[in-house]
Amino acid sequence: MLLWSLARASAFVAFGAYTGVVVWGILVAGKAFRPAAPAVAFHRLLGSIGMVAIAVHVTTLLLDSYAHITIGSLFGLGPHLSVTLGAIAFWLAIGLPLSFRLRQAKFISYRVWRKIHWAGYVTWVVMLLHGFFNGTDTGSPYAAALYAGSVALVGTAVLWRHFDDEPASSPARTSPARAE
Amino acid sequence: MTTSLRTRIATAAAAVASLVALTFAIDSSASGSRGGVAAPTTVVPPATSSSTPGDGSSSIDPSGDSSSGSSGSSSDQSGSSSDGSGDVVPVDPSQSQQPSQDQGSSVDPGFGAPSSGTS
Repeated sequence: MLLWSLARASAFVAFGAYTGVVVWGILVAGKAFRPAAPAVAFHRLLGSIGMVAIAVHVTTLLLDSYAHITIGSLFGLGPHLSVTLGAIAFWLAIGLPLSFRLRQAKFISYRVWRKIHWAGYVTWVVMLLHGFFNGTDTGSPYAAALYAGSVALVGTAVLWRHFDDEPASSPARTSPARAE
Repeated sequence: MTTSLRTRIATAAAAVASLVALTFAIDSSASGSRGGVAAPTTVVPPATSSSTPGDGSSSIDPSGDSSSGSSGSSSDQSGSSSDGSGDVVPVDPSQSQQPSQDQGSSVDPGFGAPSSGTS
């Protein structure tokens, strides 16, 4: 029973952390912080916390036999689309920091890295859908508050960047990889 | 805005504290049950010791009313079934269960399923 509770709690922590990652990343990309390097470091810290929370979530679900989650579920092998969405989010969450490492090692260009990094939005949306449609707590007030608050935060940040970025859109955008 | 070591430690500690607090909150609350996850379906094996083969008296009625059906007997095979509410509803005989003299092994695992062709 504790495993099941831990799985659910870690899902909330992971989603909260990734909401922070997305919002903070938007603020960094919109040049809300000067210098950018410490803010990028915090963005990565939130990502690391989210990754640890995902690891706890997946591990506890694998260990909790009642949840019927297997290794195959991590590869999208399962009857439920909502679980497959979780698997997609899992691999995207791994791929995003990996792309950052590849950029640091000069394996990929800044342009390619930037295109890959757009998947961060997709990851967050897929996580939201996974939690909403598969989460045990979806109907609870605190889950509804978390989802609504997260959507409001990310939506506000996106709007802020969209309207703030228009006159200043230039190719000389700060690269998190360069900022390190 | 700087991200000092103190900030990092504080953030990580907040995340761990949130995880622990949420875990115990969920575990101790009423919603800590596993109600949101589909439980594996379990079919109760038929009780063979309490019935006499051929007498049709051991079919399980989910309504708990052993006399459901117009005949008051659970072994009648006229093509009706109990829906679990005590009412008798007609069913297509072609879709009904095997009629039976073997009703000692007939188990109705859920509501709405034809129980034993009783009426």
